[in-house]
Amino acid sequence: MYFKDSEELKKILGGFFEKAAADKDLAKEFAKSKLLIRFNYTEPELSITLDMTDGENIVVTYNDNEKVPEVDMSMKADTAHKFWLGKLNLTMAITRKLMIVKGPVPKVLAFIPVLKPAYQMYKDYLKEIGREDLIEVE
Amino acid sequence: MGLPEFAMFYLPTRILFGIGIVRDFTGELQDLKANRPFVVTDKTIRSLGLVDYVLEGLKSNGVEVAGIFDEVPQDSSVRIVSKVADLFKESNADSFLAIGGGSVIDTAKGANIIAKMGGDLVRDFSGTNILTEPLFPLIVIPTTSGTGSEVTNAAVIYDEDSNTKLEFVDRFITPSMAVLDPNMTKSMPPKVTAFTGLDALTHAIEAFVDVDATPFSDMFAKEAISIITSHLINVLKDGTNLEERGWMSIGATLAGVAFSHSECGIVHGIAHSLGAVHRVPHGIANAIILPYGMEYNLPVKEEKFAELAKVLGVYDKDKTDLENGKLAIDAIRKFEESVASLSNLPLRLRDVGVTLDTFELIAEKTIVDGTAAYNPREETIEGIIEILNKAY
Repeated sequence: MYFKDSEELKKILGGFFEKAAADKDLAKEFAKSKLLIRFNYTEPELSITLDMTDGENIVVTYNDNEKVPEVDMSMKADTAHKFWLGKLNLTMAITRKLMIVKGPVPKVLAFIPVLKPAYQMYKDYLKEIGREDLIEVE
Repeated sequence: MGLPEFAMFYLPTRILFGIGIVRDFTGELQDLKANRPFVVTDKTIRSLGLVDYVLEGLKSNGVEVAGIFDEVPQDSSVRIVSKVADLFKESNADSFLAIGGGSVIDTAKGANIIAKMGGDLVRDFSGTNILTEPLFPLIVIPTTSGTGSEVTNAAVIYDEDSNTKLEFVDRFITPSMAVLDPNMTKSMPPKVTAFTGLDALTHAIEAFVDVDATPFSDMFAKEAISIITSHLINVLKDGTNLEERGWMSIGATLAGVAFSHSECGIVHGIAHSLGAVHRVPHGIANAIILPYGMEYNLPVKEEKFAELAKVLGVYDKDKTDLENGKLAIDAIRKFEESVASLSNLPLRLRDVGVTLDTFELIAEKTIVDGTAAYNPREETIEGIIEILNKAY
């Protein structure tokens, strides 16, 4: 496991989403999808909800059971980490049940090209917080 | 060609083929423990006598159906699916028997989910790979040679509440058995034969060049392309020719196996948008867009298109891959023109009610269609509008 517990996962992956949310241009690009998406992570457990329904901003919340997501994506935290490093093919991950999507799959697939700039941003972010050790993964 | 990054082949469907085989496949039904099937079909199929043709055969072999639902509309919906699931449960059936085209088959797939699992189709099961256990046996008898749904792990069902088409992708909804009998497709009129056949050809060609294509899907795609381009014209010349009908059934099913593994791309994406904006029937939209979608993808898949030229018998060893790719596209264009001349099939967007002022909207919808992720060349608004202009 790349993340030792939920707290570390929240700090690293959650921190990354919050950084993306703070970048107005990137947030606007993401939010074009107008998605309300929840990532349910296991090993360790955490759920992160990204609310982009206003088409302009990303609102990040944790273990949020109040907002009803349009798309629910369940995966191991390690899978998510590899994905944000750009080292996991999303269509392959869905086929192999590494990611389970509940909700409109086309919306998720259509979202992929928008995410590409974020892969480099995630690597830069890991360096910035002193976690270069997480960049090289199998 | 490079080694694929990843490949998986999975086909749980038993495929039976034979002229007259729908009259007796009771042995295979028993293997599946399908002793009281519930029939899902539509009014047209029933009025053509196709349902009775199957049921008489089953009855004479000792199989009684538990019930029949024959009101599946052209586009399957969540409401219809729920109704079918309720009737299935009330009838004490042990399996589904779908007799029809894509909408009928997808209705049976959706009904099978809630008949077995309970719950709410949209809230609990829309998405990918959500199911955790096998459903009831689903036997499919296609009455068109086009959708390939008899062997795919997907269903598209319209949700009235959200006004959207929902996708269900799961290995457990793949039919247990597909029974292909040319007697069941012989009543298709020429135009339907033409656009369902070109729909199947589009499945095969897009599956062959898409990003997730593998040697496994290629094998099915190439054979499907070869069969469809060799037999569709003959079927249009004589729709009663069961041998030619039989080849088309096989070709469409092979194409279904191919795209079930590597998906479709920009042609289907545009066809979905043309359906949403202008109600252009799916098969016709695919037929119109296919050669232009191929042209769009050619620069990034020259080697694959050159291989396609070999399949189509137009390969020239003295030409480059790019040149051979163009020969393949020309061959498909000429093939479609021959099909159109025999079936009155429109091949221009202007002839199916599409207007120039909607191109921007169609392009915007296409670029967010799920198929965009599988297209080998990145889709752009400008690129899609160029395709639409060429096809107009």
